[in-house]
Order: sequence, then structure tokens, then C-alpha cells
Amino acid sequence: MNLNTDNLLTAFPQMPKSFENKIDYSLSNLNRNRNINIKRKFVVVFASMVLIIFSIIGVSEGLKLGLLDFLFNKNEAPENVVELLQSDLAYAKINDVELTASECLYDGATIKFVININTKINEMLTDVDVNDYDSSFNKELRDNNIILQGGLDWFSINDTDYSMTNLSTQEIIADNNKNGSAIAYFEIYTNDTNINIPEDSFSLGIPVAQKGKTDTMKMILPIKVINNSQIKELKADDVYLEYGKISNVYARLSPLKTYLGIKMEFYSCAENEDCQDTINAWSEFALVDKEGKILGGKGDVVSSGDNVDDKGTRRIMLEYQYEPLETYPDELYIAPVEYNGIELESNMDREIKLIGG
Amino acid sequence: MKGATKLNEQDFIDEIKKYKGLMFHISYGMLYNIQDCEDAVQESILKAWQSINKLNSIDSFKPWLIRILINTCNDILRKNKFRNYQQLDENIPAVNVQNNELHDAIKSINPKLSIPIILFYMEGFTLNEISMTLKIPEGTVKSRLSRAKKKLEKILSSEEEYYEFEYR
Repeated sequence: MNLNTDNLLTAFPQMPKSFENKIDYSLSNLNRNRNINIKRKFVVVFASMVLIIFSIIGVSEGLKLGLLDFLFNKNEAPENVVELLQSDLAYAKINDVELTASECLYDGATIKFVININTKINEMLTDVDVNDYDSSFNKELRDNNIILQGGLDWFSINDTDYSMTNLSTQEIIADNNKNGSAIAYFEIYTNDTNINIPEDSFSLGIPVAQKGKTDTMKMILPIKVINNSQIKELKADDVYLEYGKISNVYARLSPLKTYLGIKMEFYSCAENEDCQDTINAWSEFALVDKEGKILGGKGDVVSSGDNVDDKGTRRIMLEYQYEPLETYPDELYIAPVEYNGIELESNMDREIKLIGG
Repeated sequence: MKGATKLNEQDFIDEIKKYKGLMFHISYGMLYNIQDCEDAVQESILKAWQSINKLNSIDSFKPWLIRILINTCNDILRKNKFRNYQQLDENIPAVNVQNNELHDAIKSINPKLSIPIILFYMEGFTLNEISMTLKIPEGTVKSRLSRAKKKLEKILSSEEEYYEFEYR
């Protein structure tokens, strides 16, 4: 029997209508969300000695593409995002490679930053060059012991090291303005319960180069906490049910993202249909206005947990990230959402009103 | 943008619609879960649209789009692998396929091997097109195809089936 198109088709299901609907829905909503939204999860645990060798100096030479160019269409960055922009963070020269941490954005929960990588290669790089392991660009980086291009497995805050958090991302693109240069964009989610994040300025360390067999060189980025009227914390009163409660409901709004979280505790759930319905309903939720309109698009799971203790109490914790809101309605709610085959719709029978902010 | 033919929104929509089937086969060939495939394709379309200015030429649209989709599927695989909570089996709809043995055999091999099989044998990509899409040398494509074929043959022979593979 030959393996060919016809035979392989028999090993695949027919394309479901829901898949086509999803494509049509996506195409009809192309301009709803602006932010790059690439999910990547790093969980590699590191065990290496760390040397801190970099100092902070002002640099801005030759940079044409910045963080805002990457995140937004040209000149379309919202004013409240521009207010969060920090520049000229750090510079390092490692043999023939220059690294410049030129810009960052920080909203108290996520750090987005850009590092310009400049090599001695005397030609304009392409995206193929930066992504191809065997390209002269990547070879140049390896020859100079640069490890940044492989992704960040860990980072440090004020000298305490942490494994990379969920939803942290990285993308490297060629810099079309300068020979031998590429631009690496990073996003680190710092609002993790395991991370001790200071309330004021702090130093972010990222591993950029290998020194010897076990040592790693860190680049240190000074991150400031900038007050911004668009950063808001909202909470909700606990919701008590016959079989448990929904608590720790929060929303954190910022010009960079919307963060939502809930915790559910159920005392006797295994055979309780209402309880199961509640769990199923709240498996995905979103920020909505009082009419139930979903704000911020589709969410990405930041973290989740589901466990049962010795007494049979089941605890479920869910945290999601969404695109930032352009404007904040007067009344905000968290409500379960479900994909109805065409689009996400909210369940306003279970909505929880947010207060504060 | 070098020699670029810039895509407007309608061009982009038309291009995406051309590759619906291809996107389904690639995402299914990596995720084996319709809901995840839907998430992957939605996210990929959004990513592609948001970075459309980085596309050098309309001729590169197909490999560029598929590369974005594959990366997105990889992200979802990573996310699912480390996700703490368990998805209930009943939430994952069962799929109907005519040839379950071949389906399961392809599912059992690493996507790094199965994707070249899907692209080459199912979607008619040339070795060069696969090389461009996956950003790996043609020699690597050939060796992955060869390894994939051997693995599939081994799995299927244990199912008392015999599959013959040929390069086109």
C-alpha cells in the first residue's frame, strides 16, 4: 500500500465546521487585538554559578526599531503605554558581539524589553539568518559564547534567581537598518506567587553569555516602577454557594495587559451536579461589561491548579491574561465564557461584579 | 521590505482561506485535539496579521504562515504538557477517521517527523518547500522523512499492515 495523499487523508478526520468557523471568526476580527501574543513556556531548571559583570550606561546609538514598533503599528502606541516606556537600560560587549538593552515596559506584572544584538557580520541579516541554527549569525553568537538567542530559561530579580515563568515569550527578528544586527524581544511575567517582586525599582538580570563551563554572565537591567493612572486593581466579594465558594476574584488592568484570577473551593463536589456545572462554567472566564460584552479577547492561561485535600475539599485556582482594554467601562464584571461554535459568549447568570480601582 | 508585494487586509483574508485544509492537517497532525487546533489556528492568524509587515514577499506567504502555525502548535503542546489541571476526557470530542491504524501510527511519532510526512506526502510540498517552511536544510528534511517512514513502517508492520513509501 502506497503512502500518498489519498491514504493519508483516511488517517485524518474531515475538517470540522467549527474549525472553519474559527478561521472565519478570526478573519472577521483581525483588527481587534494589536499586541503580539506569543505563548511560550520555559521550565528548564538551571544550576549554574552566576557572574554579574555588566554596568548600566546610556546607549541609544543606531537603534531604529524599538519596543513600541514591535508591539504596535507605527505611531499607534497608546499614550498610556508610551508613559511606561523606559530607555537606555544596559550595554555589554562580549568579544565581537554588542548587546544593548535599549527599551522596556513594565506594568507591575509583566516586563517587556528589547535587546539589540550587533555582530561583526558585514551584511544585512534576514529572518532566516536569525532563526537558522547553522547561519553565520548564529555561529558568530556561539563562537562568542552568547546564549541569549537560545531563549531565557531563568532570570533574576535583585540577585534572586527564578525559573522562567509561564507565558514568558521571546522572538528574534533581523534588524533591517544595520548590518549584522538582530533585535530580540522578550516578555517575562513576574506576577507569580513564587516571585518576590519589589514594589519599587529593582534590577532584572538575564543570562546572556556563557563563561567557562558552568558560569553564566548576566546583563542587568534597572527596572523602574512608573505610576500610571491606567493601572488598576479590582477585587470582588466572595461568592458563597451551597457546596463551596468562589473567592480571591481579582482583575488587574494595565495598558499592557489585563490579568484575571479566581479561586474556587468546593466541599462536596464529586456527586453534586451543580458543583460540576460551576467548575465547568468557570473553566474559562473573561472581563465583561454590564451587558456581558467580552473585553480583551480570548484569554491565555497563566497558571492553574486543581487539587483535593484530605478532607475532600477541592480547590481550583485559575489565572488568565488578556489583551489590554483601550477604555475602562464604569462597571466591570468577571463572567464565565464559552465558545458557542461561532464566537465566545459570556454567561451573565454567573457574573461577579468587580469593585475598587 | 525587499521586493515586497504588500498584502492588504482582503489579500490576507484570501490567502488564509486558500490554506484552510492545510492548516487543519498541520495543526491536527501536531495536536490531535480539535479544540486545540481551533485555538492554534486562531492565534496563528492573529500573529500572522500582526506581523504581516515582516513578510518579505507574497510568494513566501504559505511557508511563513505554516511556520507560524507550527510554532503556535508547539507552544500549545508545551502549555498542555505543563498545565497543572486535568482536562476531562469527555470535553475532548472523539474524531472519526477511516484508517485508525495509520492515524494512531502518525500520532505516535514525534511531530518533528510527522510534519514532513504530512507536508510531503499529503500536501505535496517539495523538499525545498519543506526546507523553507521548517527552516531546516533539505538534507535534514530527507533524513526526517526517512526516519519517519521507517518508524511508521515499523509501527504498521506490527499491525500486520505494510506500507510502501516512495519519494515522488
